[in-house]
Amino acid sequence: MIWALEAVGLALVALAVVILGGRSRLIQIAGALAFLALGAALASHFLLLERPAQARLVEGFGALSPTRIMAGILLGSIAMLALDIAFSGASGPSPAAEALFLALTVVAAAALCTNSLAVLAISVGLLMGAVWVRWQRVAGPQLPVRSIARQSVLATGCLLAAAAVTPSVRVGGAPPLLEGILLAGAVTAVLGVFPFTGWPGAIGRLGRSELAFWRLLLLPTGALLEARLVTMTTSAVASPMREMLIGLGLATALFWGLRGLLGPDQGRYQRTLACDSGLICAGIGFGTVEGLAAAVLLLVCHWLGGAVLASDEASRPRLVGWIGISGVPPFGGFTGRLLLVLAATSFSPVVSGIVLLVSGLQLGASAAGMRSSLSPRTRGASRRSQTVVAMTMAAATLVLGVVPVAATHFMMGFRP
Amino acid sequence: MTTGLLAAAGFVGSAVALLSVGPRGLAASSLAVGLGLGGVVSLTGGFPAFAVLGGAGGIACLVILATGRIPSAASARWLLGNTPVVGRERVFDVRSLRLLAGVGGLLAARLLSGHLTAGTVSTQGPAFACLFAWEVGIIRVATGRGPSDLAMGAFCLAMGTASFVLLSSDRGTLGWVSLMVALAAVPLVLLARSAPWETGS
Repeated sequence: MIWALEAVGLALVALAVVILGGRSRLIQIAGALAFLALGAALASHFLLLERPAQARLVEGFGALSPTRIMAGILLGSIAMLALDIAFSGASGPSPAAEALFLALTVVAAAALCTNSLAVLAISVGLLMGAVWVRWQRVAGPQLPVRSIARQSVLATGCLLAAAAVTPSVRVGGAPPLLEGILLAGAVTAVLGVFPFTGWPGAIGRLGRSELAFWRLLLLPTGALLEARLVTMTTSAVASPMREMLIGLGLATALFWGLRGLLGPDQGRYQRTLACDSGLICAGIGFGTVEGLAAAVLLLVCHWLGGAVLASDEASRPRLVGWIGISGVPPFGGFTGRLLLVLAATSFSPVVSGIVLLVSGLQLGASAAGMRSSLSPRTRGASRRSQTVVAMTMAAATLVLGVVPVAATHFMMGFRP
Repeated sequence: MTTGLLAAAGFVGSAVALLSVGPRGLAASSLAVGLGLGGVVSLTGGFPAFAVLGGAGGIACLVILATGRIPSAASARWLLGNTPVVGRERVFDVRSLRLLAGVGGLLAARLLSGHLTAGTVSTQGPAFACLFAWEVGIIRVATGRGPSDLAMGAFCLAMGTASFVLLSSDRGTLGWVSLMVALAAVPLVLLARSAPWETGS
């Protein structure tokens, strides 16, 4: 529990730094980077004390088992927040948003470390509920705000019900199919996958700083949550859950892939991200290392490219961002989708065909995005610092695509 | 006989939560659900289990009523900011909609409760009461027209879950069940007097 206390302490320090920094971007960046440095120290602490993750879900409060991939996901989220701040300047996240983001990483860590479904449910409820309160304060009762409010309650309720009916030391029990449905429902609500696609599609209306909550925190947390649930439940429960997640994920990817390709330029990135959210859901549902690696690579590509693409402002650096996530070799988006096709091939030829189709749709949507970025009216619209950050991120995406094994091992501690 | 009566009381408590509207309705609902499901879990958990659920419902009821008398204690506005209300006409009034969904939920709970094993309780009545409370939570969330409805839904979901856990386990689970119920009661108290997102029938 010592590391958990340290994590809470670090988050409070970061909160103080960011809040005291006021609107000075330099101090905010310094605060986020300081948190990152301290978090890196914390991660090394994890490595020293790391134990294998608990194999099964347990009753009651359970125990906390930090893993290397969890530390990588959370530290990566915080690092990308710093990048977002550096890229966006005054239009980036407000100090209040940054403070909330850093505080919520602690809640996400609790959700991803625990082996108790009850603690998991409470953490997910707190995480999504806090994001809802933030969005409600920022934007009033718009559609995405109402959607996430409903879905946070439903996700929490599904996890709580699963905790109640999981056969354990108690005498209670339920058919494995029911438990699988409940767990799949919770995962789809957190990831914004069918049937819970309300808020991901419309979240762009809330502004780029609010999109960061989804792109950098909810999506990675949901993906890792899915991976943990797939491995920590019995095969009788995991099997129907995986099939549901693959089906719903691919349906979501097809839906948003078509909308990303055929829709207007405005909000195209949000639709592309929603499409990849479906692919990530399906990739982890395959239950193979390739599927998990593909999901991680796609996540990291959106971490890197999203800072440039999240805003609808037309600017030249967006071209670089679109290339990174488009699926053009040898960038990370291509490697991620290639691994996804490999994972799907072991599942079913039809499924791998759907994944290929969605990859084509994403490529088309990215090409449309690139074309709009090359429009003559965008020339000279970007600052030099933005161009430098965009090129750095493109280089990182390239490294991710060329050496995916080393990159995922360095960041997350596993080899595809 | 006692088991059937207590299960029926749990069902009535959930039915009150299904049909109630407004802050006073929320206060009455929290009390009814707490006492009703508290009675159900007392079948296996005795007085401590009853105290956890009944106490959570009773305290939430008292705090919601108390905040109505102290305007400065109303927390929803500083928590959520201003929430402009949207008028929206519907085919059914919200209560009619909930009633229709509740009838479907009743049948579903009747069917599902036969497939759940809830500890040493021999009949499916108590499991039916828990399931119906959970379904009322889902209905309140799905038909919710504002934050207070969602908070009530979350409270019902947590109470249904807590009662099923307590029904099928020993007293070792009282700790985390109490935490879960208390955490569900907090948003109910905070959001009970929040402005709705939409009005109209």
